[in-house]
Amino acid sequence: MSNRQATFAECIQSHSGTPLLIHDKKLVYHDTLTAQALSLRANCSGDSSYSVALQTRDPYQLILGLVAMDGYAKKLLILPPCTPLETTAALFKQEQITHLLSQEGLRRITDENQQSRQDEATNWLFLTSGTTGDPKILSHTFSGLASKTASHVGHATDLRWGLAYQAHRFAGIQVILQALISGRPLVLPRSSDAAKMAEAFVEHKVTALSATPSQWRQLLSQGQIRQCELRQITLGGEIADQAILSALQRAFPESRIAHIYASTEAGVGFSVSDGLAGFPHKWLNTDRTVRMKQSSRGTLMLRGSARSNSNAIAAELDPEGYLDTGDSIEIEGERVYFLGRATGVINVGGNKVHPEEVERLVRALPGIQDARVTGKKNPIMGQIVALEVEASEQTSGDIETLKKKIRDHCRERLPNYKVPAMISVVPKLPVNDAGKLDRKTA
Amino acid sequence: MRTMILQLLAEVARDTDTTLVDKLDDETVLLESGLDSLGFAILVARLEEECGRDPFSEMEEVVYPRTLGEFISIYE
Repeated sequence: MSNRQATFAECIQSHSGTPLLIHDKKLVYHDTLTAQALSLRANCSGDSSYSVALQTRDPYQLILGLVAMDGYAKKLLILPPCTPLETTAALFKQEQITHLLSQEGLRRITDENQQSRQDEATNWLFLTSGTTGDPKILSHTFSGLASKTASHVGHATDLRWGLAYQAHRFAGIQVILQALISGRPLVLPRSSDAAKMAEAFVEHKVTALSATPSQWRQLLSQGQIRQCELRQITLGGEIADQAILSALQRAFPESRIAHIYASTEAGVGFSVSDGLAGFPHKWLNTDRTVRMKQSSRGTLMLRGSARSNSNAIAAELDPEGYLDTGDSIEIEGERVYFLGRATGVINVGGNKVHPEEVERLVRALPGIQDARVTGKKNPIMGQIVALEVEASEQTSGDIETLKKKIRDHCRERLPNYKVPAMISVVPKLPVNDAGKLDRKTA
Repeated sequence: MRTMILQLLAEVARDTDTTLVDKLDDETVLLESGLDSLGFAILVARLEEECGRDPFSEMEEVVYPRTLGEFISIYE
């Protein structure tokens, strides 16, 4: 007898009467999903042990891959569709990935024979951008992820969820599990376009939706979403400002609105549902599930009830067991507000941008002496990327040509959200006493 | 103001390598104009640079405009 945990597929078996997914206007029941999952897995049957990378824009395919492989694959590596080729190649090697499930289907990527199958749970690997912008891997198991969603599911089993996040994101997977485990149909939009999303959510009568503040702004501006009778609204992935919280309250007065703060590294978080930005000051230094305090450098520190077993994270804990989240906070009267990342990491509508990565790229251009990238506050995307450059002496006076050169250079090499949205040419960039580019004055 | 907005809109489209729809008028739905939400975020920042104000942060109750006409009226 093994003490195996229930797999994802086993967990959704009990919901045979209700549709699990609404996809492309079709209701997908448990038996269809299981049959497709079985046939997908049959492709790996020749291997005694396998690890699968999932890299697809199609949320249905991603869910199918998770249902098919959990409990059978050793590892499931969940990759953003736009991951650069060299990164995926390195990760495949490092994690000994044997198969890739992409829009082209499932294919074997290695010829080597694998070691024998083990009884342990499948590791679900998520990419997160580390402090330097290099991808870092977070490992979870289905039962671990499921137990975290179970507490939310309990009181609201009659909700119909829509998937607004991209499926490969941690937040997307959480919505998928929350809906599928509770046996309520999950509505998958055909594209990430706000109009198409709203159309699908209205048509299939979604009542619960989780999205980033920037996505909510787009959905509200699109208008049609107001026809949804939303009862549960969740905001996550970036700082929720008062403007969007109030706008949602006006649009959906009957709805419960919560914004989530989660630290992926600490593996804990909390939700705020009093309709106000930030969180109550009295939550600091009190006995709650997640204990919080402010560090001497002004950042939020967290201590969860469950200790992290990762050595890397254990090494970062202070003597009292708190982890520095790196998120700067400000106390204003009875409220604590989030200011952004202490390291200067910019959050463009839920997408992280490391200033150093963009700066490095710009400095490589001829005619550039130095570059500084900061986040500029923005009512539509939360933040946008602002670049200041110091031109070298020999650069001729035409600023517009220089700006165009920078934009073209970045656009060819970076995803859109990382390309400097605002460029200014300055005579001299500030340098601090240590001779480093001064980020504080930005 | 309208002229300035349309001019900056064209500039942002050029800078982000975006093709705008042929006919832009008050009824044009912003997100169907060719620019995406990042493009509009840039437009709002450029307008703040040019005219020194961000009406979104001044609004007591923020309205997220749906059409180009609604967007322009926020600035006028």
